[in-house]
Amino acid sequence: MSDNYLYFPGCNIPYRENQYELSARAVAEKLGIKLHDRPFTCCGLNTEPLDEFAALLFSARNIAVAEEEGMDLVALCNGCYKTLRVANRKLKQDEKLREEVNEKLRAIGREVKGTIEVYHLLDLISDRIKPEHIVKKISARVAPFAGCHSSRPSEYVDFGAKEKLEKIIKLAGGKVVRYRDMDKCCGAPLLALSEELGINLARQRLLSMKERNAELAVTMCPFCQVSLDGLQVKAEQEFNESYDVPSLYITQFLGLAMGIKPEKLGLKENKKDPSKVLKKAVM
Amino acid sequence: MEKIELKYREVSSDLVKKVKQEPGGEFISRCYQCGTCTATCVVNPFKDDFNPRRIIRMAALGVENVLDSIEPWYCAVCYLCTERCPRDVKPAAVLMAIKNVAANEGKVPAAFKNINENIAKIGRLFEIDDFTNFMREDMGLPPIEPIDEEEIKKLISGTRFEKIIKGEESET
Repeated sequence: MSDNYLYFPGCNIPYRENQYELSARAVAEKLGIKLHDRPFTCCGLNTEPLDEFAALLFSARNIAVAEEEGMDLVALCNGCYKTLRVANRKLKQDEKLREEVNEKLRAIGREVKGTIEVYHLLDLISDRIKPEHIVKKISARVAPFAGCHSSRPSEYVDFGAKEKLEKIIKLAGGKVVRYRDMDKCCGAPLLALSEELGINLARQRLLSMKERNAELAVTMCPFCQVSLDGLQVKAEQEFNESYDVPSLYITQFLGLAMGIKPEKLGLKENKKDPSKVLKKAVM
Repeated sequence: MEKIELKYREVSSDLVKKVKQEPGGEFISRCYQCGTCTATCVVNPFKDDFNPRRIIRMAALGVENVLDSIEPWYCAVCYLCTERCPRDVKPAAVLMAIKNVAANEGKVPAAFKNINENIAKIGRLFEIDDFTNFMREDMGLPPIEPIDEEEIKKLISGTRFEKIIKGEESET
């Protein structure tokens, strides 16, 4: 098990969800995972609807950078993870496609050889976390939200994200709450076309969490977090309802249990203030 | 970009061929219209004119104005339908193929075009400016370095993507 990885930030996290990266780095450091930085482009996800081949070129460009450094890629965003994981697998398996892509990459002095792997950070954390890392228990009813692209399409993406997310929540002292439609989309992908649709989907997820008396939600993707955290505040105003399920990134949640200071986890950046429930739950 | 209406005059025999040529569109003809995709869909309950079964049927029939419709663009690409389709049509991928065919003919909703204009220029969805990097520095995070714009230009040179962004419609 190598300890050195290239961190893939994607577009969303450095722009508006820096607390995910901050808490991820803090947790990774404690678990001996060394994250290295290089300039990366968009993973390719956003270009897929226009031109899947060009989207693959963006993925391949980033995979080539990782190969040059001789390190595996680790993503925090489900979208980046899925896109790079699928691209990497296709490029490894399909020699003709790889040649077609490499023809384009040569223009920028790069090449994909098929020598690296793509991981989601949750996978690496799950392999390394042990009961002795947990110094505080978070006794709350926790709704896990694994999102879509951590486990779909299962033909390519299948590391047991849902089970691993639940395992970590339990290890940190949380009680896992299962709820209606827990494997359905958060709504964030729809925001580009219709904020109303995005909010409606987010609201459904929040209502079903509330129905099971969840006190916290835990996410592993900036899109899901934007929905469950940011849109929660909006939906509460718009629908004149109260869901009261503050959402934390899994790295913020686990970080607290590992005794990492809240400032090092960026908790203040979350839109829906989790301090009330955390005050009661963290022991 | 509007609601699809079935107009037999506009049926074309090459639409299915075009969809099948796109990656992911290969299995459109397997569809036997059971509607599992629509029953599974997370968007459909909130927008009943987003109906993947219907869009796939229209495309399979060769109804050209599927390409003019905004409907396929409402897919959240969550892949639930793809997991459950009993014929392994891969509906999300078929819709993606339909979007690719439409985009190649210059038919892209503004929201999708705008974000891709950024990507074509700076390589990323959002520009990380000095202010964002200062904030990151305050948090103890390393700066996000810009990508060489020349590299992006060369990477996408000659692709359909480049033509779509420049607004040069393909000859079809």
